[in-house]
Amino acid sequence: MAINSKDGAQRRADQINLFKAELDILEQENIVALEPQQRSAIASYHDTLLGELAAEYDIDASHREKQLSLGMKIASFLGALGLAASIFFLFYQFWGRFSTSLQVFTLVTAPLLGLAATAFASHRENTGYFSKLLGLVTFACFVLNLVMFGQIFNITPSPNAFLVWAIFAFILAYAADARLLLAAGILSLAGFLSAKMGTWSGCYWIHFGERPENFFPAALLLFWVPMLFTHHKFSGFQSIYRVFALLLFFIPVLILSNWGAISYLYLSRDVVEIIYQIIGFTMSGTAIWFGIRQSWPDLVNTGNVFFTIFLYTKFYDWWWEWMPKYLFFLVIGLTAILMLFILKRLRSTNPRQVEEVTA
Amino acid sequence: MKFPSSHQLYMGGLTLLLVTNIFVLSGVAYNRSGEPESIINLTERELSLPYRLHKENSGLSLSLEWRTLARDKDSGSYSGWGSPAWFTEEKLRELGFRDKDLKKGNSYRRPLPKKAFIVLEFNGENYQEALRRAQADLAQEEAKEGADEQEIKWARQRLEKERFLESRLFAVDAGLDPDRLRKRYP
Repeated sequence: MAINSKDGAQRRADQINLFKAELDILEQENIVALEPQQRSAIASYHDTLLGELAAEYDIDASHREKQLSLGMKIASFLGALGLAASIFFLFYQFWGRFSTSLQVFTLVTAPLLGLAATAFASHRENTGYFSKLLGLVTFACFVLNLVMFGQIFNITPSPNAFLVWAIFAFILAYAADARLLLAAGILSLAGFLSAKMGTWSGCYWIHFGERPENFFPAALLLFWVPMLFTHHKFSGFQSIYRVFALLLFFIPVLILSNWGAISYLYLSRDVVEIIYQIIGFTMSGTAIWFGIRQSWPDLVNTGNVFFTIFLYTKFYDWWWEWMPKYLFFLVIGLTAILMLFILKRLRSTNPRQVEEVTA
Repeated sequence: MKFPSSHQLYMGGLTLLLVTNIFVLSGVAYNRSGEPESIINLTERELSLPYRLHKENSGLSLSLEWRTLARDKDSGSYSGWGSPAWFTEEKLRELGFRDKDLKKGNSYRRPLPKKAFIVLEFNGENYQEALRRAQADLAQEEAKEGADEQEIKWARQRLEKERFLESRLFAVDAGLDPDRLRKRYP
């Protein structure tokens, strides 16, 4: 498999490090003994390859570097939050003293400068931390841009703002390989699609959240995006799409399985709740099965979480009132242990799939 | 199809920012062009200050305060939020609510909110009627045999509030077509 993403490069580096560690153990156990020439050739090849991957993709060649990278990611995220909050409160404190022209100029210029800085950082350094940080700040500036225009000029709120924010977030996410921006884009797109669904069903768009079924089309679309378009070059994007698709599906189903009165279905509340409980169990089980089949751990884990939530919600509905509490929690614990056995059984009967990475 | 390069994406982002701002500001300029449909001067009674002013917030936002005149003049509703005479079942149908939304006893199924235009009247007949009701209420309390001093005091306070404090902006009608409403209320 050709390496064309940071994820692929990191997997190759990890594979090399594991190989080195395993070879040491095999030699200590006298299972194998390499000739000095062979050892030298392998070491030279690995060193060259790791050097190339580090130069192009800024991978973590060792465990220590991985820990430091995690720290850098956290620092980058906190930095982005801090800068965005700082810009917001700067506007908050001095806004009233600016003339309207200055306000408009500031709001238009801020995201433009942010975009320029993001592009510059993306071009100059290959770690990506600074471009991701600046990308987040730029997105926050653009959101502020339209929100403040709406307040200053009393513009009628429109769901099209969500669409524009979504497109901008997607552009920044793919340009800077930033998962947080992808998540922001996904949420904005989901907001737009759900608002449109609400409008088409006859309600004022701002109240689209009052009918959770409005989120289903967005969930369906987002689930298919990574299947239709490959994302090998982008780290973890496919997982983000799948996880958010499941969240946008299962959270409304969970709400409707407990509050049937807010469904579009004009049936009695109890019937609606039963329908959505069946859907919840069936679809979470399907997600687990499909995730195992496709080797998508994100699908399996999300399906697991929601299956558990649906199950425990039913237990609560059936037994909380009349069952002694110690017995209720004993049932919860025993169910968890049963699920552990089932998953362990599934794991051992599933053929192990080793992901091969070749240069 | 080849995926756009990061340079092309950044140029796309720049285009989006410029086009969006030009579109929004053009809409603002268009909205402000020409002659306004109507001009009213509101006071502190109709535009209230926020409950709390934060010292780090130099901006100021005002809330539009409007009321409705209760259908029943003896309803005792002095908050200005009684159901008005014009807000009937026919009006709800006119605004797009369906029969099943209007079913009695359907309290669990709230109908979805709909977009509508509300006609607001400033210092007009509805306000004068609200003033008359407050005056009549005071007169009624004072005329009672064995009048309760506390009740009279409250009635007098309500009349004072109606004269000097309460908003004079009343909702008098609603509809889906602003042009038709404008014709009905020039």
